[in-house]
Amino acid sequence: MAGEQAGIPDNSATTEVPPPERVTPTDLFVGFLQIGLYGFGGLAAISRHIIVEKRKWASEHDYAALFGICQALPGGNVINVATILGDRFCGLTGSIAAVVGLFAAPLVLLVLLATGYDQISDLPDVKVGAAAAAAAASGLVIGTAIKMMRALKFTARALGFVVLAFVCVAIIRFPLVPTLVALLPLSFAVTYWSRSR
Amino acid sequence: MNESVLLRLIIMYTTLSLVSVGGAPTIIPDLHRQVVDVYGWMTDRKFAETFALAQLAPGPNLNVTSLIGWQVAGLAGLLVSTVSIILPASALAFGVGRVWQKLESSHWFPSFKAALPPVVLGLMAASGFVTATVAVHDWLGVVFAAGAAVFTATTKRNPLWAIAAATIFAILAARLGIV
Repeated sequence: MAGEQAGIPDNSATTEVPPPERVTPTDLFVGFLQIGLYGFGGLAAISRHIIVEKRKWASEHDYAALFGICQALPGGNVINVATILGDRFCGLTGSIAAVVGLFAAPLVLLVLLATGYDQISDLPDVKVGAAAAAAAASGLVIGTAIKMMRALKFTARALGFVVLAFVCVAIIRFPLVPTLVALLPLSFAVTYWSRSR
Repeated sequence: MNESVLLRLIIMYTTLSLVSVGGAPTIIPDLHRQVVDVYGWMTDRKFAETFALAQLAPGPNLNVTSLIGWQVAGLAGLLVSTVSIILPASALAFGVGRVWQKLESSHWFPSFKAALPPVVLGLMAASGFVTATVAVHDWLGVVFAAGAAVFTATTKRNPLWAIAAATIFAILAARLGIV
């Protein structure tokens, strides 16, 4: 693992902060435990804060590049960051330590929350409140999609793919796998073609 | 029943793991289709509540899959679901992590990165739409969903405030007999 890392051309000229000499699986576990525990309503902000500012595991530039790749891959973006960063420092053991750390606290809290909720879910206040929370949570997802679309300033071609994906899954109710298998290569082909012209 | 349920959870989540570009929002509509419509493990109401509960806990948004596993098959369901949703995608990330500098410099990678967001955001909007059709039952629900969407889209504040506000408002309104 260390050998493979050494084989990759060193980009340290562009990094502002050199990563620490020694990062153990325990460090990775604790760092990602913090990310999981403090990450209410999205992990993107807290993971940058811990990885770049507090632990200095990656420079700002390095982290942005890593995060970009992790968003393009399937799986949760921060789960992918944990996997790759863990491997970089400690190989497979590091990946496992980081991912387990990321999930440990949230899963315990989630089970407690769900068990507690089951005890009280028949109370009138809880029924009303849970219905409202569920409705608001669906709006939260729609709002996040709108926010990201506005930030990315899509072209008409890109908006076409937004609508196409939405209609396939939300209106026609196609299963996800065939939809993605059809739409992703199509989107890639159109993007590649329009860029190489 | 348990073993066949666990096996189905494994198959469902390992498949969804490999297409979960963009995380949980992408797979929510398909998750709803399978969990409620195909297998009948949960009612619409339970699914909507599970989704909302998962939003309230910290951590990766994919933990909704663990919670569904917990509710369908207990601790075994939780563990099997968590591992199944993480492992395939993380194995891929692990492999990519070792060659990523080569990938990043390849001439097609920028197109690949640019091709993803439109599809992913369309699926994210679809996810919000599908959960809204499950979770919204009356005009007040429409107000809460629309309010949360506007709040999230237009402010930088933590979107969980919108959920908290809706919950408190609904309880007060019901207690005071307004709605």
